[in-house]
Amino acid sequence: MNKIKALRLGIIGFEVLTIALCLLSVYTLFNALSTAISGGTMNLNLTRDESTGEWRFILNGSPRNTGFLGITLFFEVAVLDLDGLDIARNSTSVFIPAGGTNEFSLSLTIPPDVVPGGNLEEAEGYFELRFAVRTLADLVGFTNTLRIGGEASP
Amino acid sequence: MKVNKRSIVFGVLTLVIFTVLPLYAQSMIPQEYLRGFSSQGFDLADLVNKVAFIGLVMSVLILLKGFFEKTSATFLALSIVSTVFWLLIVFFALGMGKMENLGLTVLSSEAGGVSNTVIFDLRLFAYLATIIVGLKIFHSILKFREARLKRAAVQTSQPSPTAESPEGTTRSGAN
Repeated sequence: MNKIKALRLGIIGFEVLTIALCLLSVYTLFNALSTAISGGTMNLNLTRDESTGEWRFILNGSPRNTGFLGITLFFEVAVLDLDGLDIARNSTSVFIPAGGTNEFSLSLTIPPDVVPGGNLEEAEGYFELRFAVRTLADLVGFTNTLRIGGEASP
Repeated sequence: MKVNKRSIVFGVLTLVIFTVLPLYAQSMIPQEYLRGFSSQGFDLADLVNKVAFIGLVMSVLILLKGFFEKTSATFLALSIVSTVFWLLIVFFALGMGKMENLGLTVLSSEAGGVSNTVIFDLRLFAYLATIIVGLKIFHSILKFREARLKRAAVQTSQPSPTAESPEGTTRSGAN
């Protein structure tokens, strides 16, 4: 076969493969966002230990991956002071194969000295929740960071 | 001047798909939706205008290519320019309207003490597209060289009028 024709066929094959991987990855990412992270698969608890005064944030989940590629889910929760410095931070990640499901658990202990009067609403600082989905050997992904809070009302 | 009819058809099709249809679709979207997208950090109107501009440039490049022979250096230059332009379109699509992001899109919004940041990381496909465009340019150069060699071979195989003339004069002036 002519070398130029062979190169042309190789380029076409490479293009088709790239487009197919792009479509599969984007489909898997959006599928993970719409199904894996749906209300029924996550359980969020915020409890206070009365003896120590600590607040405990617990996130449990058993997300399902109905996409065509395996995904890695990453969760991170953090409590930051008004300067954006960490008070407490914890994270976890879980791999879910295509068509499979997996469980994870993430907890964060908020020390009592950052929660004046034991009321979270009066606390000054930020609560940060980061969630990421990656696929195609973690080469393609989506990350969402939500930061709530600020100065407490006087 | 001879014009390639396929270039005209593809040029017009590109203009319709990338310029006419998006601009028409934009005029059909209610202003409230456009303002809603804009408040989320996503300027849809700007995106559509950029797509329309890209379509216009692409159709002009396709039409221009139809005016030149495959053996001309201008055709090769136009092929390379249009291939690079396709790469910019891929960057544009992967970056959701911002080609300088090279496939890494960051959307941020803030309201009522809550800030939300969304990051789409599609850089892998930007890198793969760059490799493909590099290979395509290499292929264009090889094809150009081959076309030139073929033309040269045809010209040398044809007997030159000077050689046929017994008196050593050209026949172009005769008749």
